[in-house]
Amino acid sequence: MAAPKVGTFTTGLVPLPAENVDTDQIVPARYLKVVDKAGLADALFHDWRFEADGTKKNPPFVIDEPRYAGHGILVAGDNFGTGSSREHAPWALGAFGIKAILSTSFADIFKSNALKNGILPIVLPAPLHASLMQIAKEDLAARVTIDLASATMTTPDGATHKFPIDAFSQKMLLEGLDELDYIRTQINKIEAHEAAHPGSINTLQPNAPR
Amino acid sequence: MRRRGADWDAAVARWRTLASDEGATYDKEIVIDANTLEPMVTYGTNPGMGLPISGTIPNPADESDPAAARALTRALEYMDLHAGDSIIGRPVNTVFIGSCTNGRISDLRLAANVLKGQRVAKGVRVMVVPGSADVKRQAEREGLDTIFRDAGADWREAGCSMCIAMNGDQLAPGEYAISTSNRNFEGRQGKGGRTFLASPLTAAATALTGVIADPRTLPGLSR
Repeated sequence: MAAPKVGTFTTGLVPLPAENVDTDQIVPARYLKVVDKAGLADALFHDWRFEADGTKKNPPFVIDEPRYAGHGILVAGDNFGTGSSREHAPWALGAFGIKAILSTSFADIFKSNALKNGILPIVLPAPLHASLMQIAKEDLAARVTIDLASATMTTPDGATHKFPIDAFSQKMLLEGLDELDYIRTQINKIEAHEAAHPGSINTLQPNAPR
Repeated sequence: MRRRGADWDAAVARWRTLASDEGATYDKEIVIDANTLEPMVTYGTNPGMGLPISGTIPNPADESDPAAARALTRALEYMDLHAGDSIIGRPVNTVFIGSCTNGRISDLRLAANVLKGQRVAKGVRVMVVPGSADVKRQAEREGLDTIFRDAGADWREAGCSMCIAMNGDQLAPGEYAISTSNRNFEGRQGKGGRTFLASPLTAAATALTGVIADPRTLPGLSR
């Protein structure tokens, strides 16, 4: 499976001003048997978007509003992605076309899962987050550019803001590597280590004679 | 799982050398007086929204943080609960005893001790789901499965069951479960389903009455 590659992109904003959005809301558990990531777009925020009979809610949930169609940056409330560990959450966001999420904080497991699936969880200071939430609601033409190589975001006012991202995730996403790809780049070191390492260790009694 | 033999004894001896030093200091120390703890039950839609079982549903108006007040308002709306209501006495449709969180053999022994020789309340579905196949076999060796079946509960295969509701073990919209799992998010146990998280003892006590019950009031269990 090809690892996601992220570079520079420019897209619109979608406001989701709810705090503590948990993974059971992002993808309800009953969709976890799905193995085709592409089909997960419909599972995204399913119970917020669809009536019991499967029709779209009227008025539609924000991500289904036609005025936000094609916008790839979700501006979400604090502690996005809390709750159950679930890689389907970033899969569904990605399948729907979300490329980055802006919040004041993310739940750790979600954040890690998102980075491994090419979705940028970007933590912003509260004032900047609040102003982008306002822009997302009021200015449909507003566009934001995110450049992963420089870890910067250019807001509609033309200002450029640095955002935090760990160097390893940044490298992996820029080069389109997954963990296995990365490990294979280190194969010489691994083989050298293995050659110098005993064939077995008794982990229950590390000091016992072998 | 076999926990015996020379390797096990040697390993235990080694692990016992790994205790903290006398007089060790810590960044933060939390002291909990277990004598003052009551059984805990959740009333909301995240695991932090819990209270001592004798308590009452909190009021969003008392929350100083506006975000927490909004979250509480929404949770109470979803759960159809009202500030000031007691948690004891709330009716449930389903009792789920199990999950990897609270499906150990020790949990099943506690629950079986409550249900032994009793019948679960009429109209309440009670499921007992061991935390692993190993736990299931041990419980059957001890005859716990018979106790649960005789009481009118389902004795099930080990698995996730109603913790995640991916199979048929689900709540219908609006139904309530008392559950020994550790997730109570909206829709977690079925779309529109409402979850009270509690201990195996509290869940077993609730199975007998059909309403949330304090296990400390059961004969033979009070301290």
